[in-house]
Amino acid sequence: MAELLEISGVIKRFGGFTALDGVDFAVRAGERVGLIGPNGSGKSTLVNCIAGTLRNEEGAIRFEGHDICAYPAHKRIRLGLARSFQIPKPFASMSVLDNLCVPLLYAAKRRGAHGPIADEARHILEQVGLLGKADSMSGGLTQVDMRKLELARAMAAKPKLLISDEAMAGLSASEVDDILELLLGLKAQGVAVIMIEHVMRAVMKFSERIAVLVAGRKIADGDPQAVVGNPQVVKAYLGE
Amino acid sequence: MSNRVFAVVAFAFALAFAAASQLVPNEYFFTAAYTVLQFVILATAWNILGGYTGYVNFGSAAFFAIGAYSTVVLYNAFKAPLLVMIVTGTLAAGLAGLGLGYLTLRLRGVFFAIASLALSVVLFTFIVNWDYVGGARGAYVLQPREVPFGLPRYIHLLYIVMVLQAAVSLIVARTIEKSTLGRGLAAIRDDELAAECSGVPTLRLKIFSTMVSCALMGMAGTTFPYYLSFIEPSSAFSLSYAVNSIAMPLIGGMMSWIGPLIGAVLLGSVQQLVQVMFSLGAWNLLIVGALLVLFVTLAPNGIMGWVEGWRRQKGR
Repeated sequence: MAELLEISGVIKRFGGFTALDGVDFAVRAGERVGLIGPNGSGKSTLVNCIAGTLRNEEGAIRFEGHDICAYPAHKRIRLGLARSFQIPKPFASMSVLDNLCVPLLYAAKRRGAHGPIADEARHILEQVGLLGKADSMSGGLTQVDMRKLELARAMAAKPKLLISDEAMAGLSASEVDDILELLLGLKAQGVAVIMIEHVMRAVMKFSERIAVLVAGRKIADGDPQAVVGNPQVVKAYLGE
Repeated sequence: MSNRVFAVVAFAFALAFAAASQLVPNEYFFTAAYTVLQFVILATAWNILGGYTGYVNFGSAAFFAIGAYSTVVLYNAFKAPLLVMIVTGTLAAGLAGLGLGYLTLRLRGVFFAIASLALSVVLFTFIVNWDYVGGARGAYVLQPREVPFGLPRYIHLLYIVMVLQAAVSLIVARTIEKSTLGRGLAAIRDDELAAECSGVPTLRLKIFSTMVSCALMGMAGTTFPYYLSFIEPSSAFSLSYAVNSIAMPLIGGMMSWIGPLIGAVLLGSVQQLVQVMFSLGAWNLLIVGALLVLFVTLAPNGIMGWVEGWRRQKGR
């Protein structure tokens, strides 16, 4: 089966520090992948390189067969590669509904086939359970609602691949379940998801496959149960 | 209200306003109104980049002066018709804005502000040393003896031109605000990274809004040499343009097209009153400064922001 996203030999350095050291990684269409690793292992850097907010120095990133390394971020999301931010970045002067209109107008609409923008936005808000707050200002939302908005905005781009960057960090157990349900729901729409998370309960429940990043290298990639049992992974998390 | 309807209404209002004011017997009215309208255009133009997009331009005077001096060049070269001067000055300032945007908008926030200020200084030095447009001495740009359309004086014509230019600026600003483009600009203002990751081509949009904003500022300057009949660098590059075009949107409200209009009419009129009634022209910038401090502390979102908040509270 053709890979949706294919990363090979990606290297990213910050000055003398090598954050990503030759990472190979692939995601198939509609697949649910968990990406885990200790703090500072390069997970967010990898997300930034894939989404285009950082440029990798070496290596190739292919999306649906296109080499997208030279593409700015806005072009990548237009191809269907969306991401959410770890720290929510709402458009604070806009209502929740208007927040979704931005990617709907600028990313999703370009790939055609759309009804009225406001209806589309409402439909997505209904999925994430924010419809009741459609007209509230996004700057005044609670943390959990902001995380939902962050995901909703990524969904509004109608992506083929959505990267969720620690959407659950710091949330309560029931809030984690809310977000998990939301991400699982994307499977039905055929959206591939890369979930970056520290909440292991959620990762295990969600992922069909787990990849582990440690100090900028991928040390494991495969079946979730096998990966968490891998002695190298255990060592990376717990030490010897 | 659709864009087309708004444009028709704005032009109709402008023409009616211009026609009605021909009944004003006081000549001074036109001189004063010219200045206020100048600020309406400048504030509206500044707000397209400053208010909608969130990039502070300290170089308004530079673009205003580009408009003014392109008129001087065309006057010296072949006494071009006024309309040609207006179009040329607008395009020249727009082109300069495009250049500034292309060179500096990869930088974020404060660096752009500094670059815009630097541009103003560079251009000032250039004009001072350019003999063809009068250099530091300044240049005479005499009003034509014959006034078209049977108007009594040339200032009446300049005034009507300014009313129409103000209408054009407001139409442009409102059209941008209500469009997809305006939504993209607002996203850039709120969070540039998130905007880029939502598919907004941030660099292109920023350059475009800089270009439009600067072009309108240039347009405001094109009739200025005729208004004074004499122009020199220190009046064309006056600090008051840079300060006022920031202060007026701030006081009126930066989120919509109507804020700069309110701010400019209010502040512009107060300045005229102070200058004429109390002969305290030198106090103008002080008054602007004091009002600015007052608004930034008490109503940071300007008059429109305050009205909006009040309306929302009442709605509850």
